[in-house]
Amino acid sequence: MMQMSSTAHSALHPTSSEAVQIGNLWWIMLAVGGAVWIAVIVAMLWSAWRGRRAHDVAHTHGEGESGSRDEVLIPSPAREKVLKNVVGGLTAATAVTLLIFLGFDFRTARAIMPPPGADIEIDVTAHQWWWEFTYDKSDPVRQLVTASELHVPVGANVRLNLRTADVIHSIWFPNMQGKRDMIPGHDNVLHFRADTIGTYLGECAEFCGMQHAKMRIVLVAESRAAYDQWLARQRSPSVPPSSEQAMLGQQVFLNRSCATCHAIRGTPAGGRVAPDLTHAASRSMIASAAVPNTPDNLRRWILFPDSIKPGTHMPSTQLPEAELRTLLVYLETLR
Amino acid sequence: MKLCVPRRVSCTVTAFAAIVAVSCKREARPIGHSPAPPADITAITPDSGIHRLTDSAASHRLVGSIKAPADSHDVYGGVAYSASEGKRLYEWMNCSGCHSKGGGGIGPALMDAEWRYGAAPSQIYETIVSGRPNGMPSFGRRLNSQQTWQLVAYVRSLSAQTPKWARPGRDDHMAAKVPEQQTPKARPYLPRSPPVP
Repeated sequence: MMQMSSTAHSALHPTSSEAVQIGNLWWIMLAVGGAVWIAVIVAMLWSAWRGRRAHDVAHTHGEGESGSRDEVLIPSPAREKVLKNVVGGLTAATAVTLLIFLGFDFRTARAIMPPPGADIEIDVTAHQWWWEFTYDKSDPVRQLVTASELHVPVGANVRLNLRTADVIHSIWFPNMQGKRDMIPGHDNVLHFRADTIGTYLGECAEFCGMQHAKMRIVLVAESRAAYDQWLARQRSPSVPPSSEQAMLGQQVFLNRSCATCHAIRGTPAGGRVAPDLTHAASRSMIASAAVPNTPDNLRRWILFPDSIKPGTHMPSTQLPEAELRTLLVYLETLR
Repeated sequence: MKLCVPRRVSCTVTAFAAIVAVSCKREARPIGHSPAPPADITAITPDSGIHRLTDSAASHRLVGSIKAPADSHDVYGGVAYSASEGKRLYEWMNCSGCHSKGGGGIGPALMDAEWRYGAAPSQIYETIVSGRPNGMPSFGRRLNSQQTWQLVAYVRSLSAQTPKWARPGRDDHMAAKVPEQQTPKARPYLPRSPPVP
């Protein structure tokens, strides 16, 4: 999966202005926190090595209960005064450090505040366990529904309207922005601006069920021209099958259980509860970026989805081998 | 060093362990068991691909080592996961379109004791798979046998025929009725011997 992304899948490899700000805050806190930690460890080791010195105690006296000779230590008042000042001073320093962190936090939050307008607005609906993206939702003519692969142009302010179809999910592109929850009944928004062309990964960051870990997004940040081309391609209805095998495969898709849940625009298949497959072959991965989009993986996904994502809502569809082969041919034509 | 455990502690632990061991079955999930292929699919014609009841007999054998026929101890009915998946499928397959949330409308109510075509699990299975006169569509080509059995488990839970602890406890959307776990039990007519498939 790591080969998919051109940049490491990490919040410490920022490719957007928001992620740079968040990364800076992280490094500052790491540096200060690390220095404090080292100081504490050194002090602890030094005090263990030093042990108790004679001038630490005022005097001792014995004669405890039942005749045994117990040593009772009474701390020396001078020593106690020194220690009180040291502890008081360090507590004050801690409070000041935390206030400084707060200042950095406010500064970062201001820096990543969303811009007033958005160039691109995409509606994201999280499902168990896949992602649905709707472009131009407000325009019924240009509206486009796709799944699992999100394309954005670099340099454009992207606004994601976040909703969920079932339980709480959370969307996270480590290279781009912080996490944002998607809560049933509460619509959230996430802004980011990709600065570098590349392919990145997004994932779900709130436990949402059995396949929470395999619910990923392939985020492609590309030039404006490439993005417009992709959008136009996605908006077009599906490619009609030309070869005989593909036509038979389309019949399999429509007459078996596939069309019950999936949609392919340009055919009678209009299911909305599962990912839109109109241009499924143009995606590099299947099953919400769980495995690469190859005929073998597709065959395994159709016949026995539990082997890829145990507990997935995709049902095991046992097709005769001849039908399955034609179906795979047809699905490959959906570019 | 001998560890002395008071008797009341060991009794409590044993009782707790026994309860846990028994109740674990509630959440058993048949993940990774693929249903048997349908027996009679040949060419792609409008009538092919309909699951016959023999297919259901084959499918239940794949779930663990339970040997009871699907009618009596109801392999899927005793598992909470099946009912909750059935509840999801009830929405996905638009059963509410005719049956509402169990109260009926165009179709008959599912939460009462009246079953036109039989209340036994295998009869409900056949209803879903082949459809029935007066408008029940056939879903045999749309659902595999595992999904159908999950729907059967949910449909039976609507009238509280399944164990209480295996029924859904709340709705995922705005509630239109009490949850299935609190539904009063309806008493349908069930013949003593299982129906002949």
